[in-house]
Amino acid sequence: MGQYSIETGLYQERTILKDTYFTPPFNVVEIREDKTNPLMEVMIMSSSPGFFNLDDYKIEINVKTDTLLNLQTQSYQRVYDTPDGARQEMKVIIEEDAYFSHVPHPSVPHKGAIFESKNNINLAKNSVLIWGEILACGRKLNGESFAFTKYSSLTEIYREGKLFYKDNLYLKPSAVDFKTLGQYETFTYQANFVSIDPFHSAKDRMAFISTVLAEEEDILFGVSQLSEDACALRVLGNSGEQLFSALKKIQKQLDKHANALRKKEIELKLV
Amino acid sequence: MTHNTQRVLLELLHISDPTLPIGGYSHSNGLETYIQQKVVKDVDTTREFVQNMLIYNYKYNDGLFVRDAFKYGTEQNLEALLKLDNESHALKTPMELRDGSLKLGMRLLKIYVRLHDYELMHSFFKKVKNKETPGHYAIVFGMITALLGAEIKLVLSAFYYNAAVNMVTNSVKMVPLGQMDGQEILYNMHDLIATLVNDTLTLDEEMRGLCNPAFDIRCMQHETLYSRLYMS
Repeated sequence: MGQYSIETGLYQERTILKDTYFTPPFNVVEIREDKTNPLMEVMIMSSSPGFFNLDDYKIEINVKTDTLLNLQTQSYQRVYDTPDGARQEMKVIIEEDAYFSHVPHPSVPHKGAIFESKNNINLAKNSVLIWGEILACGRKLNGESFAFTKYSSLTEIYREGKLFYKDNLYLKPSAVDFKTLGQYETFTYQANFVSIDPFHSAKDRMAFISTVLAEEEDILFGVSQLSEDACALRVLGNSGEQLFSALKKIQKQLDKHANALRKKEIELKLV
Repeated sequence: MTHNTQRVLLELLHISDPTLPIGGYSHSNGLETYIQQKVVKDVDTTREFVQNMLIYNYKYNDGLFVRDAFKYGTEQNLEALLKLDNESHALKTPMELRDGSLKLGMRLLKIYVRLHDYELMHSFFKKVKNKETPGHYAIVFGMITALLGAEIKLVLSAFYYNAAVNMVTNSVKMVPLGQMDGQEILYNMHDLIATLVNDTLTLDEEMRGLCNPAFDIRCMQHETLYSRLYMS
């Protein structure tokens, strides 16, 4: 079983890696270039090319009060032929006034893959979450479109203990015809993105997200409001790289805002 | 036929009547987008839309919530109903889909609190009025039909039939289709509804709340359609 855990801390108003623990194949590396940035950027490196049979990963992230974390992955997450399945469980706690941003690389389930992942995210008062996920139909260029056995990703987001958003991305090609109306139709990739940010109105954020996506061709997308301060995006497309770079573009901008906002707050405190 | 069977039949006909003034006809749940995009354009594509909505969307979402709300209604378990209501809210990502379900739920409650004095239903209604719970249509439908003493297979049949009628009626108006075409589509859904009822009762819990990406996207796109006749 591979696992990693990250706990942030605050040192002179900047977010630092307070506590981290990892076992093979993982390594946790801080990659923040501008050390004056309050937002800490961390990359999860993995010596494994992906999930193999019976792999079971556990991830725990604790974003402490007043800290800002952007967690990145290194490459596409492949799930190989896994006749007995592979699993991943991620638990995230975002404390008060903390910021967590995570848009991992697309998941690519190969022929025969059985994968199950659970994401449990807990937000406190005034916590911000920027969250994305992308799923590929498989190794399309090798003729492996929807050739995996089962892919399931259940995401539950709680705000102050109450379930706020739930998404069950569950694909079993033997049970559901993905080409059919209402499912993937003519597309082969799916991306989901959620923004929960009490410091920005959902309407403004939706307008920004729509502008970014409107520049892309050969996709189908929709943005909708979840509450006054939260919105969700769903996209269908035919290129993982395209969807990943679009979500990254949105994330980068939102991270930049959060960074600037926190910098201003710190300056005000110091005056 | 016993007196009770007849009473329950009439209750189910009443609650699933498409003309019940709760506004079911004003929601297209993404169909209007599909029609404007010319994806749903004739008898075959309409049939596919209705069929797929029932098989992939209703069954794993609202159908399942009717089933569970029915169970908790029978058990008089208000706490479980509230939790289920919140789960239903969290799963409905497109705003118009969520708001539509809330409107239908509230109106259905308003009708039935005048007709019956079931304590559970009145307590639930109070929670909705006080904004302590959202009050989604499927939860209200399942709870009330349990309190009316109906049988779950008939309740689910009525629920799916009502959903199918609304979709077909909207298609006849919007695509547009001939009345006879609509009736044929609807009549030919009977076998499917019977299968769905059985499937709903034996559903794999892993598929609870299954996401339907293209349906969701069409519902979200409806928010910004140039011209709109329907609320969703």
